[in-house]
Amino acid sequence: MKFFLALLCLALAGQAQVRTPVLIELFTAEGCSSCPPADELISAIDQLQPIPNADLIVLSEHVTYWDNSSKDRFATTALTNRQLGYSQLLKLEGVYTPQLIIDGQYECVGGNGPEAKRLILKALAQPKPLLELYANINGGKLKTNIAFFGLDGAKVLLAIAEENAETKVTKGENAGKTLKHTAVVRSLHNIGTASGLRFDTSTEIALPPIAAKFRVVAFAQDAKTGRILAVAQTKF
Amino acid sequence: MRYALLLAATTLSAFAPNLNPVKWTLTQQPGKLILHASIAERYKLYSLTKPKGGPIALEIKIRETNWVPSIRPIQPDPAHTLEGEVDFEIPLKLTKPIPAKGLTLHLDLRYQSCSDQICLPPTRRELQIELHRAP
Repeated sequence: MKFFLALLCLALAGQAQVRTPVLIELFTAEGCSSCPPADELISAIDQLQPIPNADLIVLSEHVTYWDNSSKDRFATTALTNRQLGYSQLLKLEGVYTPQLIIDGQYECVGGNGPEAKRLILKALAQPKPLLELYANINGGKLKTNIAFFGLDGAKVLLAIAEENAETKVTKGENAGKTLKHTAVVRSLHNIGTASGLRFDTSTEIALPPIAAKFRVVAFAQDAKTGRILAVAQTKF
Repeated sequence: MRYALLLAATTLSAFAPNLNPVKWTLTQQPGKLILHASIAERYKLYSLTKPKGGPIALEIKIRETNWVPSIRPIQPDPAHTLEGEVDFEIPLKLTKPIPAKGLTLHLDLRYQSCSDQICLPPTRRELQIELHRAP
């Protein structure tokens, strides 16, 4: 009897495998005619979680360089600079939209599903330590606690992203289209740098004006290589 | 299913993005400059005629306005986007004769281009050409 119970426990443990988180950043813009298919792809990845054993955490990051005559309301200079930073770290010739950055290490054209899948599987092969993220809202402020072991020297960042957003575009090549975005970054915060055995930091952040549901994504990133070392999210 | 369809619909795994898809050359002909754009396959260049809104239209400016007060580049095709090989004619009217040591003219270009899969940010290029007095 004990033997069968032990077997059952082993079988259940096998089923409840831990899913490794992978951070997928989409650099996009509402003024870019090539971007809507990438927005669709990131939304499908987020909803369907199509890769077994992977917890695919997505963020849409809108860049400003398409804001020539119409403003993308989600675009910020900080996100444009983030993409430029990746361009340098990954030794690319420049930036473009739509671009997927997977775990800070791999990049491909934003609408290229097969290549994205290949790179996600590559990223998945590298283990990550657990990042514990606790968050709650109190009086219009987001209170968080981020903790993990090791990762000495890693930068710790926190993104607040609107779950779903829609824009009816009136100018440019996407004029007349209603664009749908998933996990649109509304603010990105530098929480600190890990040092020593354990990072354990509480913060209080004023919430940006967000109309609907949102998610909080915390991640530790290697400052020199850009690699995402640990990541977790929670949704509100 | 939707993801599978998206994966199947995308067939560009062999397509690495070209982040410098427009090559420019500037040459001289009697009374004019020829600005040649060689646009990579699958890419389009937003032209001089592109209306405001969205990507920027091609801008061509001359730096030596004391020699050439203004330029009016002639685009061979009025389309808003251009592909392949394109020659822009730039008629030249100098305010004074070319000096014996020659004259260097600089053109400043600003433009934007897209392929069927990616779009590039506004790009600047500087071109120059040496003009010499006719013998």
